[in-house]
Amino acid sequence: MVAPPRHAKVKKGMKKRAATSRTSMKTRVRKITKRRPRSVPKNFQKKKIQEYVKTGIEGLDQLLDKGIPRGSSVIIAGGAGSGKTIMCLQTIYNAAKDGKKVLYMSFEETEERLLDHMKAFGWDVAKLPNRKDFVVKMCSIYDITRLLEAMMAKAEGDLMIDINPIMIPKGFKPDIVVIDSVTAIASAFQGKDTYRSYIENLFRYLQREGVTSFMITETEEVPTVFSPTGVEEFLADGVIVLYSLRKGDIRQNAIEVLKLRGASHMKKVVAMRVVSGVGIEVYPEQEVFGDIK
Amino acid sequence: MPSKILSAIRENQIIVFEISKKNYIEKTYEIIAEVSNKHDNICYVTLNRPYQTMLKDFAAKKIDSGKFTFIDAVSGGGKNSPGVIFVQSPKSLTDISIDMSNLLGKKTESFIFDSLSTLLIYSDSMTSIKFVHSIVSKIRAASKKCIFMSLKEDSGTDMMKDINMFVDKIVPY
Ligand SMILES: Nc1ncnc2c1ncn2[C@@H]1O[C@H](COP(=O)(O)OP(=O)(O)OP(=O)(O)O)[C@@H](O)[C@H]1O
Ligand SMILES: [Mg+2]
Repeated sequence: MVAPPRHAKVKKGMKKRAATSRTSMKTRVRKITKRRPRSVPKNFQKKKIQEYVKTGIEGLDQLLDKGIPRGSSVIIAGGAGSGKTIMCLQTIYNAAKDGKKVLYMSFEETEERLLDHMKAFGWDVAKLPNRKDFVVKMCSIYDITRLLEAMMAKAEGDLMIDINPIMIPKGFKPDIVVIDSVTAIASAFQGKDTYRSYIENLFRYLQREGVTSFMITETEEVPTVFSPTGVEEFLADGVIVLYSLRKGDIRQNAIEVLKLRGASHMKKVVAMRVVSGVGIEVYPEQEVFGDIK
Repeated sequence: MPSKILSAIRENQIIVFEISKKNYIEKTYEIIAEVSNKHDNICYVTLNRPYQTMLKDFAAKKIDSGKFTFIDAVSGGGKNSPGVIFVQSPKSLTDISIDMSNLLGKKTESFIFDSLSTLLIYSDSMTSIKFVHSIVSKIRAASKKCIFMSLKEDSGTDMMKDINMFVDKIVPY
């Protein structure tokens, strides 16, 4: 329990309130959730559930200590070829092996390519306990634009939150969603404001549904901003950064858990590799030689 | 002469052998032969000669290559096997460190690092020192041994002065 002081305070407060009346507390939270969905339920859920999602990547799970609090939205930021796609595929494959329902929203690669890519690492979806739990959905930015128009037509302020902003297939209730990538979504928007309300809506929606999400963002090689507008990284509960660092004519991969709300984690940049036939390996004890500029 | 090698290995955990350019190859094989008489599981990190070349030399000199796991940073890649791990370049210090660390947890009794002088050609002095310091700490923590080869001609460099601080003995050879 490496609870920061703020966290501790919240917990104390909750106990007190819970002592007066648990049900009224619930109703109150539900009411607040309706009005301002982001303010209260986070800590409330944390207290109530305390479930953690593991990536199944041993070294990364060590960095993450207990894991990612269930229902968190985590940005996976990194430059081209830094391993974002592989890391997310590996994580959701591991989760699906554990019986979780997972959804991969791809704007960049087709389902066939992704599944082939996975097979090369030995992640064969046909071998999952339930093949139907692993869903890949290919989207185009046109889908998003069309969806947006529908939303705008229907929306009046906050009512926008009633629309499923990422077209989760009907009847499928995923535990984990990967969006590859938020950067691609951002490119579908002309105005910054509409994108912003869309993205806020997206975070809110996933949170309300209790979905743990990984949102891939394409960044600079050594990013200082981790998302298309910089807003996403504040809305997100976590940011994991993947580096592909150049040292002359070679590259070295590294990984850092930059933030993760409501969970303790190691705060350092450590070595990572993409190993043929295995996937991502993270070395929590291995420093990276050469500068991260 | 071999006795000098042997007593240095016996009495120290981390050693640097300083060898002159002139007879570098010959002398390193004398050291390799001595180490392979003493240990059965050795990791040889080569930044100088490719794995294939070394295998031939081992055979010619009747050194049992079966006792060795190579980390080859010269060939520029290749297919790993139980006897060899390929690393992209002598610049790939992080990869070399990961692969050495992985072997620390296994049966490996000693490491031979060939060489500090080559390390310095590919990485700046500060990075090289950090690397050596880090790997020496890990080897010490695991109670294993390590021999670093180095050129006598480099003995006055900043790196060698610094490395002096965290090795047990520097043996001119
Ligand atoms: N089968 C494989 N074996 C080893 N390494 C691989 C393999 N496939 C891919 N890689 C490495 O992984 C990197 C790509 O990983 P990935 O596609 O996950 O990156 P990304 O961050 O999603 O890139 P992009 O920005 O293009 O979407 C490649 O640059 C390559 O170095
Ligand atoms: Mg990708």
